[in-house]
Amino acid sequence: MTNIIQIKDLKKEYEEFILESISWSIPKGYIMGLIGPNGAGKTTTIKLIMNLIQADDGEIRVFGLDHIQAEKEIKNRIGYVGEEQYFYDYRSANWTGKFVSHFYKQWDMELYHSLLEQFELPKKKMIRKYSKGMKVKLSLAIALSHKPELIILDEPTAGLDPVIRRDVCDLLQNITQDGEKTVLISSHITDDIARIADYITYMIKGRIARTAAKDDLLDNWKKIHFTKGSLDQQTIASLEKVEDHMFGSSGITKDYLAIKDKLEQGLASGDIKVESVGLDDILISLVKDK
Amino acid sequence: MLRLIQKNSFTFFAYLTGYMFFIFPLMNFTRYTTDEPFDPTYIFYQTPFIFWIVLGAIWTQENLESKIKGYSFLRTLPITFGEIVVSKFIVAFLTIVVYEVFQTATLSLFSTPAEYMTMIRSYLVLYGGLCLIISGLFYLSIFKFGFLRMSKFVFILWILLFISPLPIREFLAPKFNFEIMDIIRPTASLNWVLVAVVSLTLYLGLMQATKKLNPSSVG
Repeated sequence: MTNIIQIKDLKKEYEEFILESISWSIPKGYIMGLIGPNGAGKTTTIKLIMNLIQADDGEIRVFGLDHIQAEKEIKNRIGYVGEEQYFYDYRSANWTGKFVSHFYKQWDMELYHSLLEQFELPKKKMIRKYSKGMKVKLSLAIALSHKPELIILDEPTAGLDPVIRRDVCDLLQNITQDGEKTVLISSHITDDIARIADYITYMIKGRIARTAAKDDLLDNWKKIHFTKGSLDQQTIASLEKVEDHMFGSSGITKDYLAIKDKLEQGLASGDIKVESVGLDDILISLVKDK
Repeated sequence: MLRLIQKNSFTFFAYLTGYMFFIFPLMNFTRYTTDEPFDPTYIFYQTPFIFWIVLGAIWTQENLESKIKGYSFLRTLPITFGEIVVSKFIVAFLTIVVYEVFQTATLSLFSTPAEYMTMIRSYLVLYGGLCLIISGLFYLSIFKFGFLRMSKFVFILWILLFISPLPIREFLAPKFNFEIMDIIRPTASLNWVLVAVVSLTLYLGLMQATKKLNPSSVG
């Protein structure tokens, strides 16, 4: 599997936050969801990849190229939507499209205009008069109009209504259908990531807490409800966040497939019930672990 | 790069045309309409306008870039920090060149006596060179420390340089007993080509130093 982004021992230190020597890679042709609580380092990592801030140490390679030496070439192949949207906001979407088109080798003005229409963005209105959601959509239109190989989105769906959020997610899923385009998306809205991501990376306190294929993650992380005596002590000890309730106990396993056989009898008798957990629950569990 | 230069030119163009088609004709109206003998001290009052144009345009433009976080937008595009810096330096340089050409061209309009030509030309080039270096220093400090930290300093220096002839004429000249011509006359002995080369070299040095700064400082 080819990696589109390869990060090695990346370090960035601020007064109140340290990105601690992370190593990470993103495979080509997939959607990677980056999840983490506020201040986990998601935006810092994305800004480092985009060379918007400088690392204290470490190496970032995008498309196999050094992200500083080949900055221009790399950015020509990346579509980026930042956490906050900045434009020459006294200008219109029309002007912005024309301005930006000069810097991209593969800018497609027709695609840009069709995206503006799809997102129902007024082309001649000053961007300053756009709502937050409209600005996000304009960012997306710019990010997609040069047919990028890699799309990096930092909290893109925040501020968008559910209908547009769904449209954006569908759009991203369609884009990656050909297996040639890669998406890195960070979001607090884990529902969106759960819908579209192939891989998930959890980032907590400046560290990569876990990276896995979404399906593996969801197949292995389960909540087990069990009555007294239905589970052996060894299995109970392997569970996390074990809590006692009126009718039994419950706990979370990170390796359901490994203990599945042991649960069969209890599952048949109804003494054990297995419940799927969401990406949010996994995040909370990982945060508590830390 | 060309698109960046074009984008950056607008503010400079506005200041330059404001000077050329409004301020200059108003200030020199009497020169065209009277038969009084040529007064070379006019150049003493005209040249500080180069600071008004160039440093004023820099302040206005950087203030706007800072307010709307224009650099944060540009840095997401396939543009290097070096290209952003170079485009800024090129526009300031071209503005100074246009100003110099304009002022030199108007010398003939005033039927400038030959005895004053060298002196006035050198004085113009000296101011042009000074403006180049100060512009370079402004950009270096703005890109190093950010516009917000430098804005007051840049603004005050801009005003001081622009209005400098007034306190010199009104307070310093009478107090220290010298004439305005005593300031202009020594420039006749200056080698204007050397002044131009030295200031341009320093300007290029400042541009290189700015290019080497950490791009994070501007967004």
